[in-house]
Amino acid sequence: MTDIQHARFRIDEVIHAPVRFSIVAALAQADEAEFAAVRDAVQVSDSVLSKQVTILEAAGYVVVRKGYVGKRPRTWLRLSKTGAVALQEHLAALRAIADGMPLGGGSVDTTADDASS
Amino acid sequence: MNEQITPAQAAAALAQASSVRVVSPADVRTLTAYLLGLGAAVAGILAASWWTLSHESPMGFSFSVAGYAAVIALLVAIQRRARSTPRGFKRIYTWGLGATMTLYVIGVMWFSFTRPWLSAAVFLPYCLLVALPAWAAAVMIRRAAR
Repeated sequence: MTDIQHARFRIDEVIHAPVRFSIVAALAQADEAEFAAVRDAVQVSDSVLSKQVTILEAAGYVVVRKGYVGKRPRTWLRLSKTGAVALQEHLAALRAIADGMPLGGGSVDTTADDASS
Repeated sequence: MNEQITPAQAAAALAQASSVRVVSPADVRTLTAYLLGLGAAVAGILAASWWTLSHESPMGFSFSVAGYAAVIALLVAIQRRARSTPRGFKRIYTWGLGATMTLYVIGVMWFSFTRPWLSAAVFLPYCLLVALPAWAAAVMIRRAAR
């Protein structure tokens, strides 16, 4: 038995969904990106992206800015500081799971409790 | 989160995150061209202002200012085509353009308060110096986006 918490408890449930994870990872590369650029990078439809961005915005991870280029309305997205921190923690948890280690180092016995003494 | 994530799934998620690209090479080229153009335009208007005023050509000065405004409008239109800005662009752009504009103001004050008028051999190299911070920012943006 170990007191070390498994890394899966540090997985961010908001970011964990594949599409939202891709959105956040894409926005981490940019100061700001147009809605259409993120849609093309993540390869989803406008409606799917809009829905996922709404969830991320409600969680405080993404900031949405609306404006105009000429007469055309445009929407820009950027990762908030909260979102950037959440992404880093999520990535750290994933790396720990991929390496078979809990966050903070050490090793976790993932086998069932040893019945033999 | 109590759902089990296997190491393979975690590795696949990490690979997925690193494969997404939102800043395109075209956007980097656009923003680089924008900064290079800005540096050249500011240096150009400084040189044109010095030359037209030192040769007592108010008409020439007016045309050069109009030309500068047109170039800036064109550059802004080009910059707006970029659909994304790489991380750090805002900070690098602010410092680069800020340094260029500071040198520009110093240049204006220098030739305005110096008599006789500064020679081309002295002032034109200074105009080149004015463009350098914006051009350096363009290079930094290009490197940061790689």
